[in-house]
Amino acid sequence: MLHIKDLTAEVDGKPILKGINLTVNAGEIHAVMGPNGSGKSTLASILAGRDGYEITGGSVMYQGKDLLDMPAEDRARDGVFLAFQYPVEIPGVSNIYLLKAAVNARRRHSGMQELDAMDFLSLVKEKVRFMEMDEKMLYRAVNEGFSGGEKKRNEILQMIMLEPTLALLDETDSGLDIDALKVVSKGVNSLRSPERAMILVTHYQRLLDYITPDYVHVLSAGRIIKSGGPELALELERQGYAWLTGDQKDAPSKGVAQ
Amino acid sequence: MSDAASRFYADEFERVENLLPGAGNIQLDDQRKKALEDFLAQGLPTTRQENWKYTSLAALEKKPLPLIQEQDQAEPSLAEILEVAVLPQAEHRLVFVDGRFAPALSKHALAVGVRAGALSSRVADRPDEGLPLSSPYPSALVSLGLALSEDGLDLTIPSGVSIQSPILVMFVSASAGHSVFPASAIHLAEGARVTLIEQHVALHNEAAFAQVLTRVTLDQDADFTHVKLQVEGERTIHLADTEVDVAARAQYHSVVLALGASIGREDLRINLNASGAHADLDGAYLPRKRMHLDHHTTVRHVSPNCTSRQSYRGILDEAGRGVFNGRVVVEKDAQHTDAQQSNANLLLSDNAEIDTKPQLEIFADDVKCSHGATVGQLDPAELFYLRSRGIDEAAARALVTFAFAARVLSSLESQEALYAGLRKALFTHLPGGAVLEDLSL
Repeated sequence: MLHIKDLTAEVDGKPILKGINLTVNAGEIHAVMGPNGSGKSTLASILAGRDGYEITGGSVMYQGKDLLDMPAEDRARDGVFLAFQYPVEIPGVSNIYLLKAAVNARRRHSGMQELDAMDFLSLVKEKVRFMEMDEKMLYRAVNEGFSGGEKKRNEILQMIMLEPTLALLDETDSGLDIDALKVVSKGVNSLRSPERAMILVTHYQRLLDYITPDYVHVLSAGRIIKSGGPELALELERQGYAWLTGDQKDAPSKGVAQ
Repeated sequence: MSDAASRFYADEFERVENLLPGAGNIQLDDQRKKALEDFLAQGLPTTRQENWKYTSLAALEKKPLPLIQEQDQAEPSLAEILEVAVLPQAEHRLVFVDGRFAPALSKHALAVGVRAGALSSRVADRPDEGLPLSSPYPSALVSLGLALSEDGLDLTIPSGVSIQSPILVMFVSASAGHSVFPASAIHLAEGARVTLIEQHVALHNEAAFAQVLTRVTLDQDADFTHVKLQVEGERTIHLADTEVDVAARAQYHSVVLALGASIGREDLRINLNASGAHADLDGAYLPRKRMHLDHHTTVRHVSPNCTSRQSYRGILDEAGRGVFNGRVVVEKDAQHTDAQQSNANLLLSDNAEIDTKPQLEIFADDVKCSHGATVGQLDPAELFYLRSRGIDEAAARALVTFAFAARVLSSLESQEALYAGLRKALFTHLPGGAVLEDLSL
């Protein structure tokens, strides 16, 4: 489904990705882990089409198409979804309006009929209940005044409404308490299917206690330096990143070690 | 007085003075003559005056336009009027065409005791009362309007009467190439309540000039929502002067949308005259092409314990230019004043310009006053967030822009039909607004 080959990218002339190779097949969940500044959020952003990155080499093929050639909105309509690390507040645009516009943009693009107001409303209410959210949030402005946890739930709500083919979750676990983490994980797990793939970008093993990945990759200084199964994440949790990067600052801190 | 425009309007006055409503009544004639003299003594404002520093009336000076003659008056059909009406379904509709009341296009079913009609009738019937429009702060333009006004809205709501359905007043410019001077007097007696929509619209895109005068008196506990929608033609110069006196515990809510005209200027003065009076002012201006839209507000806190809140928003595109000057005066007796003011602007083009100036003049010592102005561009993070959800770039831009402007309408949300009509007016005048219609906002 997704083939990343020798991908290099820079920001303001500073190389961030230095040759990423990664293949993700339908049905798989990949965790991309790494210390701060390793480039893992950059990778997610580039895949979703955020501006401000200079792609200096390599290629990304998604379902046989050159992903890097597509504007962000086309990627979304083709099933790529990014759950933001820092969801954006959009004053004046209600959640329900954004959800409806997004769902219908995707449906139109896939040649499906748009949902009418009634069908849409019953669907969205069902999903809101599933995410253990308050229906009233639908009528509030997008993310405005939401707590960190509410914003992350809202990202997952959008994701389960849009049913993406390739979901990118950027540090979705950061800033979540244990209850919110469980709900968010429930949302993510509900989307697991043989047709769908996910990339979880995360610093900590914590999320992976709830969502078991098929593969774990360690990103450091813009390269994948090690790949393995779920046991690799546990190893990282025990030993910190220093074990792989050789950098003392990547050793586990007291707060992280369980 | 030597400038050409002054001479021109002096001649116009001579031509029409005997045709004005109530002409022949000595007092009334005198009031008009004095007003004209006052105008002639001052002349049209120029950019040398601080209040007009950013807004030039040179175009008006160079080419003043005559008042319309009876035989030239166009007669638009009801269908034409309803097509441009912001609230075509309004139960109460009063239409003025080229400055004159058009009874055939108007209708209302207001309670007994409510007076809603043409000011010209009232003045003709009771000329001894004079024009109920004088101001303690007469500017040249106010005086000009006073001298030349033929008609306008006469609205009086008796004590305790609450009108549920909003009243739509339309000032329609049907004939190009003329000046109109609509002048309106609005009085809400004790505890009265109403929503008025004042729409200024042109059926043409040729040159025209409107000098609009509005006087509002709110007795104690009255509650007046005053929506002004300026959707004049591309070559209209629209200058408006509104003065509002607010008595104890009365509330004045103003929502002004300046969406049309080549030059638009709104002077809005609110006097909070007695304890507990409140004013809420929301406004949006959307200059594009070479439009110039100017808002000058003055909120005068005369008495203690009054509150005011102002929020004006500008969206400036192409070579559009905006001016916001918000003045809050807290007089020495006005202790415990709470006054807030904000002005936010979105610049969508390198050629657009905004001059914004908040002005606080505080003479009391126990007050809470705040003001702030911002100028910014569309936030790329917001745009990317929307695009990452499948909304294309043009729609994302339009949506963020619209959301920015539409916040000035939030106080009207409960009045569904009006709210929908104003949102539509807003997005049809926004850059890329057509896209939003597709998204069935």
